[in-house]
Formats: sequence, C-alpha cells, structure tokens
Amino acid sequence: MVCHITSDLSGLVFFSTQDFSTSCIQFDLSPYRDCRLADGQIDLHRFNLACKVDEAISELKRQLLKYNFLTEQL
Amino acid sequence: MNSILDLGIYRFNIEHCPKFIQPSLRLLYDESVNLHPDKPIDFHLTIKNTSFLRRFIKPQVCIYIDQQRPFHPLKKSLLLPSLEWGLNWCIASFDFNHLLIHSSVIVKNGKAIICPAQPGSGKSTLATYFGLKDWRVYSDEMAIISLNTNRVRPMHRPASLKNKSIDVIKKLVPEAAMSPIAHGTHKGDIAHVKLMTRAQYNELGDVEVVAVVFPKYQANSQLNIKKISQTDGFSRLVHHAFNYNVVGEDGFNTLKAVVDSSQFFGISYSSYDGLSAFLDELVR
Repeated sequence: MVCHITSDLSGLVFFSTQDFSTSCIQFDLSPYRDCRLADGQIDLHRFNLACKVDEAISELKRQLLKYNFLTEQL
Repeated sequence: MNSILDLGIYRFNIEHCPKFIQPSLRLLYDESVNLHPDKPIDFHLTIKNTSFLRRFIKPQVCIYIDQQRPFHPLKKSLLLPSLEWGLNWCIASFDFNHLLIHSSVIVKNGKAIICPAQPGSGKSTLATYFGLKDWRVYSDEMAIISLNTNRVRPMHRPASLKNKSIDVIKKLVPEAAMSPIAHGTHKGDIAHVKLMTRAQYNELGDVEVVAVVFPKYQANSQLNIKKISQTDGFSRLVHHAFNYNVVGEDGFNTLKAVVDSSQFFGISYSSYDGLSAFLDELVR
C-alpha cells in the first residue's frame, strides 16, 4: 500500500500495488502539515508523534489500521 | 482508397475510405490527411460493405479495426461520427503509454485546464467555444497525460458536437468550419468542428495541467463555481480515467503529479459570460 498526502492537505490517498485499488480519505491535515514530506509521502515519525498528543489524528490512525490502510509497523 | 490520418501522437490507416467522406476529412483534418505516408501506422481500420445486397438496399457499412468489428453495421450517412468513435475506441483500448482521462483539455499561456465530465455535461461544447476563440483545444474527448508527469499532450482532431450544441456553436461562432450533420446516431445528431490547422497544431507542445474543472451545463442557471479539495478531485479523476487500472502504479504516480499541481473546481453555467474570465484567471 502506498500513501500520498495531497499538497492542499485535504486528505490521504492510498494505492494498492497488488490490485491497483485507490482509496481517497478526506481529513483536514492542515494542522499536521509537518507529517507531509516534500514528495507527498507520509512522515511516519512525525505522524506517530502527532498521534500521541492529538485525539483527532489518533482516531484517524485507528481507523486506517482497522481498515488495513496502515500496518502496525507504523 | 486508403487514407492516413495523422493525429500527431497516433497514426491511423483507413482502408477503403469511401470517396463521399473525403471532403469532410479534408475539412476537419486539414493537412493531417495522408501526411507522412511512409511513417509507421498505429491502427489499421477498414471500411467494408456488409453484403452485396446492402450495396443497393438501405446501404450499410462496417468498420473493422485490426480485423475486429467492435461496432454494429451502420448507415453510410453515419460513417463520419462512427469513424471518430472508432478512433476514440482504438486509443482508449490500446494506449497504455499514457494515462487517459475522459475529459476535454483547453490550453492558454502554456497551461492546461482539463474538464472531465460525463457525456452530455457540455464539455465538448465548452472546449469548442473556447477553441474557436483564443484557447487551444488539445482534445475534446480525452486528456492524454504522459506517465509519471503532469504534462498533457495535444492531438490534432476536430471537436464533436451533439444535438443542441450544434446550434449553440453555430449561433455563437457562425464562421466555424463544421461537417455536415449526421442525423439519427445512437447519440442523436452529430457534427464535427475544425478547431485548428495542422500548422497551428505543429506549434503546440506538451504542457502542465494547472487546474481541473468539472463542468455542468444547466439551462437558465447563473455561473456557480465551487472549490473542490484535491482529495475529492483525485477520487473523481480515477472515476473518469479510461486506463487507470491497466497502467497501475504509473497511473497513480501520474494522478499524484496532476493533482498536486492543480486547483479543482465544479462549475455549473448556462452561458460563457463570466466563465471566460474565470478560466483566464486559472491560467494567468
């Protein structure tokens, strides 16, 4: 699974390299702009840090794990 | 007789191209007809009569594409629009070197706006109107985007107008060069409009996409512009892509590049007043 954060920080796009399915998840990431690397990839370290202190993004992470968009390694 | 159509990116050979269709091809494709006869051909089309009897009683023809017959036999009078659909079918079915999005593409100041929409939304009419003004139309049917980039490529083709759109363009741009109307296709009446000469096409190059506009013609409505998020836009572009599921990760990377460099809008309109200023602002 490949994750991309759009440049307007309006959400995340997940792409499966297995079956080419694409899922677009709207979520206002503007308060967490540090989580986006220059190429649009997610900065896992900063994302996890944000999840520790912010309930909204923490809930997002739980949902992403639940639906297998993210793995526990994150 | 054989005719070659050179669209720039693709080349088609049309075997047994009937004489009656030649004036329309010349009108619409200009010098792209029989251009570079020695260069390789991408797609071979053949036009055949269906049977000996059908030559005399309600004449019908068939279009074969590389020995396949993807369409039903049709009346001779519907050959031009069917040929145009045949070209679309070839490109959408077999080009895996680009990401193809069902969309018109208009270009100004070296920047492209792509306008994806369902059939009947007015995307071809919009592209035709602006293409006959001071924009260039890279396609009225599909955006051809180089893989892993946000750059769209031009095709030398006419625009296709349906039903009321034909009169709309005739009224707004009376001097437009238009083919005879084909009445009674499965999409209604169809006419094609020449948007540029081959010489004008030769001056065009690949350009970056800077905006994606989802148009919707609504009679008697005011111009309504709604900003759309890139995430929503990404999802909609996937929906409008012809070959996203075939080109795989290259398609995803291409959409990423397009989406990250673009603003997204949904618009509804009933006239081109105001719309022109809005589109100009996007490519300033």
